Amino acid sequence: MRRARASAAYSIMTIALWDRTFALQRLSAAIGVTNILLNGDWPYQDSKEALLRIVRAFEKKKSDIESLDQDVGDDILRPHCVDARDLLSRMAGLIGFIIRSSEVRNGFELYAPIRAIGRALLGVDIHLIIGSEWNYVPFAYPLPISILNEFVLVGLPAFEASNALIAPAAGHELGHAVWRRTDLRKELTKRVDAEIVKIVSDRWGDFSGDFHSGANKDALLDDLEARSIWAVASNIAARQCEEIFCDIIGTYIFGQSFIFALMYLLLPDNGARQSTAYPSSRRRAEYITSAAERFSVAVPSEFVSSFRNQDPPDDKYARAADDAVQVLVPEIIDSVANYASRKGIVLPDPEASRRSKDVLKDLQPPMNYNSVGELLNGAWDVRRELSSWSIPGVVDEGRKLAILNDLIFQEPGDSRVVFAEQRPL
Amino acid sequence: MILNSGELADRMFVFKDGRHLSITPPPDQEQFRNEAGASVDLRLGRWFRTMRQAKLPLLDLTAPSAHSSFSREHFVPFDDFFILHPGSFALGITLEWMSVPFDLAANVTGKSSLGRRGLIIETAAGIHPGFAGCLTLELANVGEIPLGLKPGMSICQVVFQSIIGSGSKTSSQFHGARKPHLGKIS
Repeated sequence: MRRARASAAYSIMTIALWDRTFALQRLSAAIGVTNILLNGDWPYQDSKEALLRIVRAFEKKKSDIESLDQDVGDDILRPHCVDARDLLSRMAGLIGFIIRSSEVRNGFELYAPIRAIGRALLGVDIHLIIGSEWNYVPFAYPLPISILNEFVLVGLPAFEASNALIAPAAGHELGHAVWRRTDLRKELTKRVDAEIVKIVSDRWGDFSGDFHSGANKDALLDDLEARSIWAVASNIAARQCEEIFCDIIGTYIFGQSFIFALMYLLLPDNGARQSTAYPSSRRRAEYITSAAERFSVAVPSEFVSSFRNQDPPDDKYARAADDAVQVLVPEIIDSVANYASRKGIVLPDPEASRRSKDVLKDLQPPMNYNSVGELLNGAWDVRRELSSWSIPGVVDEGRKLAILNDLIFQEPGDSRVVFAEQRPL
Repeated sequence: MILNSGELADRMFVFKDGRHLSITPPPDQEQFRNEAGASVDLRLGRWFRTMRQAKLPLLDLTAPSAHSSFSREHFVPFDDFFILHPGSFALGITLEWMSVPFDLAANVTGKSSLGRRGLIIETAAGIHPGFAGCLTLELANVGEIPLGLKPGMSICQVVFQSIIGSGSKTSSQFHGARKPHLGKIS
């Protein structure tokens, strides 16, 4: 009995000792590697600043563990070590993202105009990191953690890192930042809940069996026990609303070029739904079309029909979510229009887009535009007519695309803006 | 015939037809007209290309090979330096993008004030009618101390000449580059 107790005590002490030793060693290794990375070439300050904050978080965690007494109890030590492990795990992915933001394959010229849009939408204290991702999920990237609270991460696919024409995808990513950092999310989430409750109530025959026997279909919103049931649909609908919100922000900022970038990244449509967190691609296209019509943005005639019709989901909660979202789309469009115009974001002017197109076709970088959306709309128009674009001495369409790309990246026409915004590292 | 500053200003700021000389970003019109020169100053851009000295034992000038096999790109923000060490060679690029009309050609020269400090700037000396793009600059430090090159600094000057007669509308292979380009060995 005594031996068993001693063995258990020895074992606990050993594990505690190992926890501490290993946590400190891993943190030291991470600090060492991150400090080496900091000495790399940084195209802009924000990426380096993010890395600095991460290394400080590692150092703080290491210092916290080192400051614990050697004989501190396992119940105190272990949570610190678990925190350290989780911190390292979460940061590894972010560090990778930050490092990839400094790869020369990226179009660094995009940084200033995209940051200008981000700052207009979210305030001047916003930091931006544009990465190029190997594991790219179109139009979705998680928010950074609290130590990088004011950072917006925009991920573009690695193979397309130097493709200026898909820059409008950044509009969707900025939308996530707006959704999560403003009251719009709260306001729309309330509406989502109300709409889901209405649908569940209207279809009570389908849902009543899932609720407790005393549930009143006319009082579901305030019934906490019932909420845990219908919240399944509400959560799905809220995620979908976020994605639609982001699509609509992208459409507002970039106009038609956002739609073309979306088509470039999503087509061909295989008819499969990515997840219930997204509307079906077909519906998504329909919602974007509704927003585009409201914003007087021309929509390519083949846009919606490029995506296949899909059957409604089998799950009744996912179906309720789909239906609730459809009802809420006009409100989301209103909400984007009000917010963006309040923040001084201007809709791309078709006339300025046409001018950009003409200037690009003359092999000159456009200068007279109000928004980067006008430049990109003009560029997409050139892209669509690539075969008829006559460049003396150039026949190959790949070469034409490269020239177009360079013309876009030559933006900003007014380099004074860039000079003013740059800060020394 | 070499164009003077007044004629160059007209080409850049007045003519909007086939005689238009586009330089983006353009120089300040008033300041340019007040200068009595016969050239346009261009600034250094942010992209550079250097040789991978530790990778290749020999660069075979008779064999075409991909840029990436023997050189690498660098991007330097405004207000930061690209350091060119003594004896080193790098490619740079102009900040400005030029679109040259078909009735003009040009020559690029380094700035003597920079040359006197050890920086030799050579380019594809002649710019053909119809050229469009940024100019790749060959930068060499022949001095004895490292030189700090800052994007946005004035780096070279371009002298334009009018073409006698109508030129053919075929153009050089160097259309559209915004990054330093090695070109093809023919």
